[in-house]
Amino acid sequence: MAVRYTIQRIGVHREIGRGRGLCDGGIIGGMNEADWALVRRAQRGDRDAVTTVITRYQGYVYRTAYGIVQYAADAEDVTQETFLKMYRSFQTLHDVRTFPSWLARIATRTALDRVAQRERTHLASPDVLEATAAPDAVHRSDLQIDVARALADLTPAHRAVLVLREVYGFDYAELAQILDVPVGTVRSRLHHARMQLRTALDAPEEGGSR
Amino acid sequence: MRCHDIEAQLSAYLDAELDRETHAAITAHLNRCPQCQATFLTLEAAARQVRAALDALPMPPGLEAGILAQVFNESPDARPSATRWVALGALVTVAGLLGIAPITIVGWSTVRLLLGLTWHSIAFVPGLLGGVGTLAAIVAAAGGGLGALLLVGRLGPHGDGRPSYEP
Repeated sequence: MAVRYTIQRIGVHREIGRGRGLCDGGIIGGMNEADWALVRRAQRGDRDAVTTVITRYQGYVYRTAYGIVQYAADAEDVTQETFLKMYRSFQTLHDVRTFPSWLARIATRTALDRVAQRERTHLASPDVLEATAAPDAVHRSDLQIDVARALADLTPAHRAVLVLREVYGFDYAELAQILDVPVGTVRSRLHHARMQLRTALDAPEEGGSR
Repeated sequence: MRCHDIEAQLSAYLDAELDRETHAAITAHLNRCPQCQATFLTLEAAARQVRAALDALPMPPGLEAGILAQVFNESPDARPSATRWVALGALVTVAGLLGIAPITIVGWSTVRLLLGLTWHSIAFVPGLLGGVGTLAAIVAAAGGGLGALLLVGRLGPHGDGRPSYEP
């Protein structure tokens, strides 16, 4: 019974994943002609269009960055750097329909670079409680802190694929392009990351699927 | 399929990334194996927790203002432009073509003086040199264009040697 329900839900989950991506604007997987026109205007240097793109995509980029780097301050830096790179390299985006994955690729690589830089300089290990210093820390639940801890135990590469998949619903082929790895690697990394998360969280919800 | 084989594919099953037959086989297995079913449900719950946690992540105050300030403070001159590289390639090409003529003339004159040849006896040589010059011009033009493309590709969007981000 539960499995049948889950199977039905998978289709729903996939739709949600495909359509929710641009978390503040809901564009990834559902960009339309107006969105493409906006990106084209931004490419031509239209200041208003660039501002709108940034406004719409900042949440998407920040969440991606945070999921990978695990530090709020680093995630903010990565977000700024990502948009600066977007602005500088708009000329290399030949097909505006690929804008979400193109931007995700920039954000992911920038975030992974930041993690590597942090590791090289032997800074402290990710402080999963750092986010509790955020303004709305009071409202953060233990569950979210547990997730942060579990994510911190994954490698950056595993965090990257997990964040891009779970939050934004890119399919395996898109993930392979974004991460520049074979589809088989995407599949195995996701599997490994989820199994490790499952063990770390060790918190099956009563009744499984709601 | 055995439980071990099923477990290895549960993640792809969750993402609906399996072919229809495999998907159906795993569904059938899950419906009769409580252990694999429990594994699947906890896997799905973990995925849902990650989504919920990241969805609830607060945006830092002033993030957008910071991005806009950084982007629009960027000098337009600092933006690498494809046009710039194309122009550079064209410049290299023109320089190559202009260099062919004097090299051909000087080279021909030198050969003529050294060998003491007359115009009449070697009438075919200018034609030969002309052919060589034309070939060199083609090579120079191709080299200029290729050079421009390589520069765009190598310098890329970061100017740090990475390839383009185009998926």
